Amino acid sequence: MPLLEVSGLSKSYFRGRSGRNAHRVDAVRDVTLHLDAGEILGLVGESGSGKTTTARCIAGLVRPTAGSILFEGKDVLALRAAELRAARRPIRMIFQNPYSSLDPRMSVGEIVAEGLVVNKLATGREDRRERVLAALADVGLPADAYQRRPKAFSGGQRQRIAIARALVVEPRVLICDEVVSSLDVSIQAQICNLLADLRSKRGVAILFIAHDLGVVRQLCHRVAVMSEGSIVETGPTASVLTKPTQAYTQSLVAATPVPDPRHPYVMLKHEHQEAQKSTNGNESP
Amino acid sequence: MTDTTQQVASLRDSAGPMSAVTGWGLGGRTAAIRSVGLWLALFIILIAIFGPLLAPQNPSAIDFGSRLMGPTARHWFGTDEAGRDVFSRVLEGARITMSSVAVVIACGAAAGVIIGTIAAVVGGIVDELLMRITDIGMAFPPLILALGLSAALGASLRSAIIALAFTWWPRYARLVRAMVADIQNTDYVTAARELGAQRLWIVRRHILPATVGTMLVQVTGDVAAVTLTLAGLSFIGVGAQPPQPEWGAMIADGQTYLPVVWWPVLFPGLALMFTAVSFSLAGDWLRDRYARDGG
Amino acid sequence: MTTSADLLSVRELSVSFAIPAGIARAVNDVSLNIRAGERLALVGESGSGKTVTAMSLLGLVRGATTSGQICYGNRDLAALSSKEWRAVRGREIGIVLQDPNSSLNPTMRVRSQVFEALRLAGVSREHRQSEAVSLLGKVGINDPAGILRAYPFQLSGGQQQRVVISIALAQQPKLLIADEPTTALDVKVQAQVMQLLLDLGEQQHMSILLITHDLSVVAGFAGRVAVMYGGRIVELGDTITIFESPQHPYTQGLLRSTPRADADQGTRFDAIPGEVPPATDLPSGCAFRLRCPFAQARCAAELPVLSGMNQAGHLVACHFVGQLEPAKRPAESSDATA
Repeated sequence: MPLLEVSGLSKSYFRGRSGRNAHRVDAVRDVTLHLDAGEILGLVGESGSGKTTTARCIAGLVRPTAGSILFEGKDVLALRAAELRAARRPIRMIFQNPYSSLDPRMSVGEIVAEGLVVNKLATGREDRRERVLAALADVGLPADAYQRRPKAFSGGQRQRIAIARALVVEPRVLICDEVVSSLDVSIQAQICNLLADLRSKRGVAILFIAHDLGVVRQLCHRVAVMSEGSIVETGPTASVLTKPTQAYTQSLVAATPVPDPRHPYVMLKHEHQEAQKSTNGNESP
Repeated sequence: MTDTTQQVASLRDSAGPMSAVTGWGLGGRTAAIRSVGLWLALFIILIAIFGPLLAPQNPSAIDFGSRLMGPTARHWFGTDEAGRDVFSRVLEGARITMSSVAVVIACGAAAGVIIGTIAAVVGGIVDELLMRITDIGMAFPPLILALGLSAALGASLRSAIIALAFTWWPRYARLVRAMVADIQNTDYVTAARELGAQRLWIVRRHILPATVGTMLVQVTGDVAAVTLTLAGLSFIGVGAQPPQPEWGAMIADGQTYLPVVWWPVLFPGLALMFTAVSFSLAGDWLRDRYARDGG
Repeated sequence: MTTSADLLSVRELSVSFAIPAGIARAVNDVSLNIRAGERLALVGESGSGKTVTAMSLLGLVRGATTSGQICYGNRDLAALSSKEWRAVRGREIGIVLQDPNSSLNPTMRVRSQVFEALRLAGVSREHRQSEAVSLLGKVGINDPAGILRAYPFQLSGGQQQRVVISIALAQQPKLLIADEPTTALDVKVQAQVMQLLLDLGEQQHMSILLITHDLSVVAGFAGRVAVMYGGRIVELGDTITIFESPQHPYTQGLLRSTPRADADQGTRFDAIPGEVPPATDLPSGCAFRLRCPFAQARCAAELPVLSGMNQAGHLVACHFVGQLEPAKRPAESSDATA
């Protein structure tokens, strides 16, 4: 049985006043995917594809308009309040921007401990402190980070703090929302290695949302490609990204630059004109 | 942006509009000028607390034998029309003025913070309702309200304080509501929600601490405004009543003897100006400090 | 030394800022030249000094201590007054920045902004509309008249960036500086915009200085690459040489860290351990030595100079050029430092 099973997930937003001028935006349309224990599933797509909204529905930050989310067999959406919070505890989300996802007025220790405090998971201050220090060690940060403020740390280190915050409550699923997209390439590699290590050492399953196909290719076992709210293609990473069957995936792969000067990625003229005709008209603000 | 670029950018932003023209303010002269305000403001607060103990004479001691005498060694600021020592009265006035201002701002800020936070956190119809009440509150001019209250309760410093507190809370409510609405949308609050934090926890732990910086700046700047308004109310007679040595009241009493007898008006006037400028500068300095450190 | 084909020649440019944390030495002794009609990429991660270098070429750095020369034609741009800069910016050197949303004024219609650029190009009022339409057509916009009437927020990211490019090109500058022009765009739009820049560069015989952190984008676009670290150029050469036989350990590390869409799933990411040093606290000698797998005592004592190898035009700043085995992998120890 898969750890996380999402079926028919949909989320619609209504812009403008309700009634006559109501303008419906379907951010997520009938999305079905599953995550098995110990696997890394990539969720890729361009901006507006609905991947972040999907992630937020699973993390409980957004209430979907339709569909079901089964975690360890239980329908999370059928629960309310305290039960819901308890059921969702093993699912943790990590956000994209390391400069805004940590409260600048709290110390690193307080930030990492927040999950424990809010959910009353520690047996006391000492226990809390030990768990925080263990989490900091797991992400490769020194113990003296405990008293310091986020502003003393770089982007990559802040993402480690954010990961420690998620780890301290012993999650079974990590939802990583573009967590390496705003990091430099060499730091990105460090964080990806960290995530891979957490998966192998702790057995956490990871839902990895990204737009960089290269990272996904190396990190994820399977990948789901989203476009305009729906999943276009799913499958093992190697086959989906090397031999995509759907046109959208093919165009995405073709547009991805490769660090090889003998394969100039800027498309040849006639391909470019084809692409321009089809996408220029479809670009949405 | 790199951390270096961020620091340079924020330094430039905090230097104020003049720096774009003069090129100053990038961490040098204008910053130094403004920090003076902070020291002066602290000095005034000390005077307010300890001043009356240092007063050489009894501020209420009437002595018709030495009325309207100019500044001398015995009476540094001269005497007023009842022979009282102006210097001692100015010191006593510091305590009266500052404590009244403190009460006005404390009440106004407390009410404003509570109302603004509830409006932004609860949202919906409660937000609308509270904000419309705030709008009504903002429409009241302090003067009219003070006159009305003094008519109802009798002219006194107490009615002036009540009137001012009533007119001051709306600006805090608006300010706090806007701040809280912004803070609620930050990633770190979203992260706290994702961890399972409840509303009360988020307000206590994340939202309120984030408002401290801006509130401090606003409050410090407001001390100047409230001081002057209070003095103005006393001046026209609806605030402190004689023989209270509130600065505005002193000016009102002394103005009939102008221009020959200038000291009963000048010294309280200077005290008012000194207080207003110091707290204004202190407010500016605090604002720059918070802008630079990112609050 | 400026050869006749050089459009712009930067000599020993150094830029530093006084910030609360200390003196930030953002750019240190950078020398490079851009030839007419060529595409040069300036590559580096955040904190490498690439953006400050680019901004210096346009005199857009305020409050900094600058030394060195920027030779353009027979003028030294570093010595220009702000009035003289106005004749150079836009007319000789154009710029495209990362976020098109903040490059365009949200309160003005696209038309006003394009017209402003055309006015500076000397186009008379009657001709501005037709010139604007033709300019937007050149940058690949399908409905120029409609876009001109619109406000920037009504356009997609790709359309906005095309408008920004058209404004930059209005005065037909000889050099275009593009600072991370596609980082904020989706991958398909990114490919289109890069293709656009390539085409325009060739059509107008315009040089392009591309500032980026993304080596994949560089590979298909630039003829020569300069790699920056700690405010210095550590390697400079033509693209194929840099990618196929990088000599500087940082360049090697950067190439290995770049994820590839044809890599194998489950392989470890090749990371460079440690963090980029802050500009206020650069290590003595070679700035990269704290993260370099080959560092020796000499690297701390002596600053390596950017010098040529056997191949013409390939410059490297390392004491041990040619002596390092290129395939050496850094140890897989803990990647993080305090």
